[in-house]
Amino acid sequence: MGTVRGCEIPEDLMYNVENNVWLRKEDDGTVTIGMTSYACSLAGQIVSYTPKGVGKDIKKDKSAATVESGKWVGPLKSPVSGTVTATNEDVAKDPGLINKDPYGSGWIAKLKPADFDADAAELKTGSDALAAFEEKMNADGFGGC
Amino acid sequence: MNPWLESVAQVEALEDLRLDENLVASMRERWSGLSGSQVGRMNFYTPSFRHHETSELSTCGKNAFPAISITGGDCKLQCDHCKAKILEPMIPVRSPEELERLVDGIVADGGRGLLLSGGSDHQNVVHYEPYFPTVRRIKDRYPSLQIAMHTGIATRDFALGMEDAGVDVAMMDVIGAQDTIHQVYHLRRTVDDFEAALETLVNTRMKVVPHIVIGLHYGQLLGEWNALEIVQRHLPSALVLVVIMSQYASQSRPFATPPAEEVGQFFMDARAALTETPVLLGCARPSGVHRSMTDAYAVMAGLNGIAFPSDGMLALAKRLDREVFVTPSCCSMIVGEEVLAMGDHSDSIPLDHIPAAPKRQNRLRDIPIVLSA
Repeated sequence: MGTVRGCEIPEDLMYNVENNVWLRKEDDGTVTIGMTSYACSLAGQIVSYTPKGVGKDIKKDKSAATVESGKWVGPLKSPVSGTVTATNEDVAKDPGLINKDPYGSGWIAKLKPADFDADAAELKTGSDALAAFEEKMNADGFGGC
Repeated sequence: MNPWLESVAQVEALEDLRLDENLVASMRERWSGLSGSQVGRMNFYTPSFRHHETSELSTCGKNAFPAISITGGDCKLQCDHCKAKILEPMIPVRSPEELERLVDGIVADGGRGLLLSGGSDHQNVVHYEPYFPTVRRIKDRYPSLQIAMHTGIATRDFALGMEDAGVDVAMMDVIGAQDTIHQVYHLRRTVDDFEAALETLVNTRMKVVPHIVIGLHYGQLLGEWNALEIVQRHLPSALVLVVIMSQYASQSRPFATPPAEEVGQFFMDARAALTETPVLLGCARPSGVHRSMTDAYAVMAGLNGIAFPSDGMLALAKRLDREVFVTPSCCSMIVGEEVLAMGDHSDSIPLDHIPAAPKRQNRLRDIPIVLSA
């Protein structure tokens, strides 16, 4: 498990660092996306999760869900274009799950990608991702998780 | 199909929203009979204390109007809906000297105003009196710094003290039901005391912006219409409506979330009652789908402004032929809902098109506003 300024950044995932989103390619060709622990730290306790419905087509860098905390409201921007295949019922019941387990049970959406290879080329992983997050945190003046 | 519902369906962000057809029909019918200087104009704004981002607009990320509590997190009242939680994120100060030092720093950092707040005593009085001379010095030193103050129940002397100190905007909650005052606020005060306080504040030179909390009686609407009548009798600079948020309440005295349809009905009544006074939807309201529904009803009822609008509201307002303006937080005259009350729209950007297929452009300093292609 990689760590940047106290924030867990698993090195086996792919990231859109600017949008603070992770992506995992599943064996069946779908992708799972979610908020990074860094994003969770910025947002604070999340109180609301409003995903786009199953079957919706989402363009890359457009909202797959709106999440809300006391001091932050914003979209979870999908790192790839695709069709929503699942939303997280557990998170709908308990949005705080996103904070508790952002890379596991707190996932935001599952999608069938439209052109994974093209979109994924812009994502970072491994040590490249850790370096990019360090740079982003530095630019943001972020003290740490 | 009701053309207003067709307009909702045409906004991508709202295409899954299920609104009450009868209420929408009623709003449309009532809207057609309304006239007044405040009917038809909407201002969307994003106060800077909270990050807010939709496909239509976002905050700039800089808190230009911080909130300060002169009691830190302490409040004697411990009202059932709040439990002093609203004070927790505010900057605590414990003395006039500390306030003065803090404000010097805020101004040096580019702050343009501040909200003075604090917890009440058992009589719903926030004891600002020791701070009045300091506030006066601050206003003399920084005349353009806008100062808003949350008051509890203000007496005439207290109101004059605020005025002499140079407070620009006075804010208070107006409660219209005796049972709510007793049971929710644990307060031995009367509805008349709240009305007298509003009257006293309105009789000063300050801008006065009362709030009505919808669903204040454990999630039920009880004194809201009476509160609206009180506001009608003592016309303030603007009225802010907020919706009770249940998460701060204890499990022993829980609050329900009022149905969005009931909230929308009250919006319509408030609009009809105050056609010459700005009526705004403030920051506090339940989140998620309820929030989108509430905001859509606020647009349809013809409220004059929405803080932190849900995605799609600018497009809906344009589709309903409202005159739409956007006030980015960094340009706001003062904390959130008081933007319109200040009567200065110089920082507002008129929206002359329906936002669709948005792409980002930068306008007005560094504030990202999403505009259509």
